[in-house]
Amino acid sequence: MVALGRESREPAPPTVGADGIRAAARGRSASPRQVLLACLIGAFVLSLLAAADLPTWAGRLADSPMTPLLRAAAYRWEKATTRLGLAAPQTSLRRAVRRFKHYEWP
Amino acid sequence: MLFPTLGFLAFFLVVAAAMAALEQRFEAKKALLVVASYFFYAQWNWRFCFLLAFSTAVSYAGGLCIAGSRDPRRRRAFLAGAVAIHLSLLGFFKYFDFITLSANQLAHLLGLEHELPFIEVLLPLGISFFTFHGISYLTDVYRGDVAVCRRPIDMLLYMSFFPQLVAGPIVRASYFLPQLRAPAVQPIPLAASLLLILGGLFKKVVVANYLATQLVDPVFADPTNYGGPDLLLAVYGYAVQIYCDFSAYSDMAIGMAALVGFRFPPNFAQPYRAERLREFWQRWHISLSTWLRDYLYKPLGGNRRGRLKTYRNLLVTMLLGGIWHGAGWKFLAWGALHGGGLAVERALEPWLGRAAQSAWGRLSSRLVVFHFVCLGWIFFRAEDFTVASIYLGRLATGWSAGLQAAQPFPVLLILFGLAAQFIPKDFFERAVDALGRLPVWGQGSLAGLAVATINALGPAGVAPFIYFRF
Repeated sequence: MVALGRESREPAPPTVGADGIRAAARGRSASPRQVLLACLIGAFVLSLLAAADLPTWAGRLADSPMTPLLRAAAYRWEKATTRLGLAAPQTSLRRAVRRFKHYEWP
Repeated sequence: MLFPTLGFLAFFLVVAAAMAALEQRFEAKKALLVVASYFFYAQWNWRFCFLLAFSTAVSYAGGLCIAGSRDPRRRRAFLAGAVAIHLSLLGFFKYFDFITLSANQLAHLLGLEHELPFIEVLLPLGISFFTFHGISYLTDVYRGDVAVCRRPIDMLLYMSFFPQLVAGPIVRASYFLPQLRAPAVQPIPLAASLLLILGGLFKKVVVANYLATQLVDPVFADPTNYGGPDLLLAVYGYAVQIYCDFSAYSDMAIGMAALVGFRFPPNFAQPYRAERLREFWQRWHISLSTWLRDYLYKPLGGNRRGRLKTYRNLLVTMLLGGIWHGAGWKFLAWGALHGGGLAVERALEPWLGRAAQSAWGRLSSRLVVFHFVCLGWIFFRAEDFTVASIYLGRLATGWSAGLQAAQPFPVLLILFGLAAQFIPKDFFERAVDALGRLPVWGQGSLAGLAVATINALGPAGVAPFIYFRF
């Protein structure tokens, strides 16, 4: 009885051969095209909200004929999203974390 | 190319686009993933791609030789030869400097003048993991647990598949190779994969990175500057940091493999809720602990040859597990501690079984196991054995000082990391269900929003994953 009660509450360690995503957690399925669509949309949303990081990333790219174009595009994109106010949430969040990080015990 | 970077996102977008374009052409998809995996690996050091290819060739040829021979002695010789090549490579790249340094120190102590040359060997990323993949395949073919792989492309992908290439999980040949024989029957679990990747990102970028920079790194760099409370909280912090760092990598690897149509085994299952050290190893780095059990502990005799030999086998297995993590006395000490702990626990099992009947008994078991694991983490994290000894000495005596490094923010992260060990087992399923109700574009948008939030919450820059160096 004790063992049964415990069994229902406690997640048991997985066994060899088990899947990293359990059958019960696989949810609705998607095709490779849907995966691509989700990734592209996710990347687009990220590029809107976190455009401030793009120029730094582009600045670290290895030199190639495409690199100056990419750097200029990243810079212009960042300016455009900032003008639209899309950088504000990230800036506020970063400021809040920075403040909280420096709290000390009374 | 680290997972939580824009560079990796760009890489993964190209892979996802190519996978979508190839539709039902399974062989072409495998070839694409091999090219992508070698490209991914070459981002660190392209020269080591040849090492990875050589390791793959040894496994492939070794498997064919073992399967092609009926003479048991020849089969054993082929297995031993191929495993010896794998272990020699691992031994050279991982332990050459340690052995040279230790031999020179011994020679110095003995008053000998001659010194072995020290050449500072560069450790190829992920060598431990692809070596274990190779050994697992060869042993499984020898035992008849897996059919020999006759398609080079399958062996290339098994050894190099990018989600697990540099830090696991260790995927058995008997688990992965059958997935390469035919396209996946199960469709892609998009919501579950996205949640695993996002959860992993949060654990790595926010929890592990802040704990490292705000608490663990400064305290472990010079423990003499801190008192007992800081030292204790820094060990707890490291326990949470290494869990969040390594399980994050595993979660992201499982999620990314699923997004391109493959299954990986689980690697972590809330390890700090374990009531026994043995249970801890059933929940921590599961792919390594089961590998050590099946390819080392059981061949040594396991628990079949009496009590004393069982204890010996536990100790030997964990010592070798310690050395696998790196060349150094501190890893030996860590392995010895866990091996000894497992042996003692086994000896005390009848008594412990009775004590664990009550709620208090179970709570105290959890606390004892957690603190024992933390004791091991001190050796694991410290720069060397001497620093670990100083740390332990300060931890025992330096309780007059107040808190300096362990301020509210890192303490909150520690509490978060420990509380996550007790999340109900159906929490993930419920989250998948909720996300899965959204259309694909909604899931993608939410994922983008979550990544942007995690990016804003985390510190600037991303430190490499801890297990990259193993």
